[in-house]
Amino acid sequence: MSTLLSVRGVSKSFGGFKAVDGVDLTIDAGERRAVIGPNGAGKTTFFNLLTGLMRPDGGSVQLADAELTGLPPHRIAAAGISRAFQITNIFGRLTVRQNVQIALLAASGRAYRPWGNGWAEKVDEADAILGEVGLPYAAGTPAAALSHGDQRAIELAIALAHRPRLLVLDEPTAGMAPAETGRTMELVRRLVAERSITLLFSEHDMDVVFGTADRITVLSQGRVLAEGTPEEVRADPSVREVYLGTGDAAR
Amino acid sequence: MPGANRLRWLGWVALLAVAVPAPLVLGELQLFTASRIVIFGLWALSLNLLLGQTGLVSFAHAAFFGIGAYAVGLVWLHLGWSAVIGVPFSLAAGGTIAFLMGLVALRAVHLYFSMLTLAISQLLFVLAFTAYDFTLGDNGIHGIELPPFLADTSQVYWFVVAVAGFGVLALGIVWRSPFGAALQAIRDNRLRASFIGLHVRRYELAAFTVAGMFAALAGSLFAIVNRSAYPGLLDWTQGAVPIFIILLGGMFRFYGPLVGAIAYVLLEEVVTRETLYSNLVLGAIFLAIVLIAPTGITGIVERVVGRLARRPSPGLTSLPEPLAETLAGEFEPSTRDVET
Ligand SMILES: Nc1ncnc2c1ncn2[C@@H]1O[C@H](COP(=O)(O)OP(=O)(O)OP(=O)(O)O)[C@@H](O)[C@H]1O
Ligand SMILES: [Mg+2]
Repeated sequence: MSTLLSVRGVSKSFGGFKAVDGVDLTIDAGERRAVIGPNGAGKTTFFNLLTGLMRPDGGSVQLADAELTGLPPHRIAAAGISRAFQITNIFGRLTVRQNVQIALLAASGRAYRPWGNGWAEKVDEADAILGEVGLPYAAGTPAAALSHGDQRAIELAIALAHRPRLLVLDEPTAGMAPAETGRTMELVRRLVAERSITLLFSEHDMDVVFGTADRITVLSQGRVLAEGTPEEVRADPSVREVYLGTGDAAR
Repeated sequence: MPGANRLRWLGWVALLAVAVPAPLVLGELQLFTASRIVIFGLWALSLNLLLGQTGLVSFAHAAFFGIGAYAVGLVWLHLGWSAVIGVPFSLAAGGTIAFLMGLVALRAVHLYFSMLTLAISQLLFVLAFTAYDFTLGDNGIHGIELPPFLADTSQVYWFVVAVAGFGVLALGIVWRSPFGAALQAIRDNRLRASFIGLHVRRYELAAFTVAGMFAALAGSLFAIVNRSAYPGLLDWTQGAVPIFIILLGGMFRFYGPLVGAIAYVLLEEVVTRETLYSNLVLGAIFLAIVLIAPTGITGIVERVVGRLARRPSPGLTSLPEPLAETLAGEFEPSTRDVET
């Protein structure tokens, strides 16, 4: 398999505190990779470095052959990485459909046109995506008016609309009820497979992690503690100690 | 809602049907008032491209209005050309200066952006004031001569309506375009907009430039009607007028500022005629709108119509966000060290 994402020694400090400390990560095309680790391990910060929200202090990020290190978010999005956020981050006053439409328009690279009817474009495509994430009934409602779970679905729909090569999901099921969690991850697995998207996600729910990931990377205090298949990681004593310490978290 | 669409078209047709034949029935003074409505309407519409659609609070909009007025005055004064040449010229002048100002001011966000627009526009104000040889300084340029085809008030009025009509049409096309849709996304969530691949700063710069162009166009019409241009037009406190108009009319509909301009100009006339403390009264009305009806007249009408149609509209009950954010001084989180 060919390598899609290649990260070499990226670091990020806040003041003197090393939130991400020389992380290497290689993901093959088509892989589903989980990044796990205790609260504050640096998962979100690591994703921020990949997607351009923050500039790494050192190290490099490459997607296929494109050099992405230090590029702003819109350039990284154009290169084929799209992202959903741990804390819901959507377009509140736009309708649910418009949230997806604008993501589709932006991805098409033709949102700049100052003529034509903007909200008449990409309607069918947006509705198809809303159907897939289970939100067709809410298409005309302002996004801010929806429940937390539905807003998580919009978060996902925006990221998917992009048809990315690499989809980065930061705790996609954060704050969801168990039933919702199951449905959402099933959906993610299906869409990722259908569209041959490579997946990188972080998650605290071990059922979700072990049920979805091909490989797992364990972060602790900004460093890679372990990496391997779910079985290897589950068996790794240092991982059990740092993260799965209570034992029964990894069923 | 196809019904709402038809109603909107009817509204535009009615507006034209009232605006175009107005000189046949109105007296000279009333026509002057009508011109003010048209000019202020265009001015406020251009600002709302920033405020209501992009979520940018600019305090430089008086400067662009003044630049447009001076475009007319200076073309007439220095080049000896017809003052009317200054009208298309104002688009170029306003656009160029807005582009340059935007390059600087948009390096900052939220309140800092607003403060930069204020600082730079005051710089332009002082420039107009002190460059005596060029602008005639604090005297201003008066008695601008108009060509023969603008000999009487009706002709001037029709000219204003025609030019402003072009401006409204152009702004309307921009408003509903994909570009306009992207601006709305940026208004709602600047950060996420960059993550779906929009070069946010470039979109904001484009919006700022277009807004500057059409504010200047409105200013050029002001100079044609009043036959003068003076530094006071550029003073940033004048920028309160289009903001007032936008809030009065409602910022989330394209036509909101036009409704606001009609209400504002008529209100201003009544208030200045009836009271000595016109600014105090207007200020109180402004406060009442912000507190009670933040979506303005169009918002109220929509809610009433929506209720009559037994269709609850998602009305707002709080201060419009761009303004609220700026007033509250809510800045971009400092975690962002990469500029969008
Ligand atoms: N912008 C910032 N400024 C200062 N410190 C930060 C910033 N962002 C993150 N940190 C710190 O960096 C560390 C890593 O945070 P991060 O959010 O990446 O962890 P995480 O693994 O995503 O945690 P969680 O599982 O709770 O989401 C934490 O100690 C956090 O307090
Ligand atoms: Mg996190």
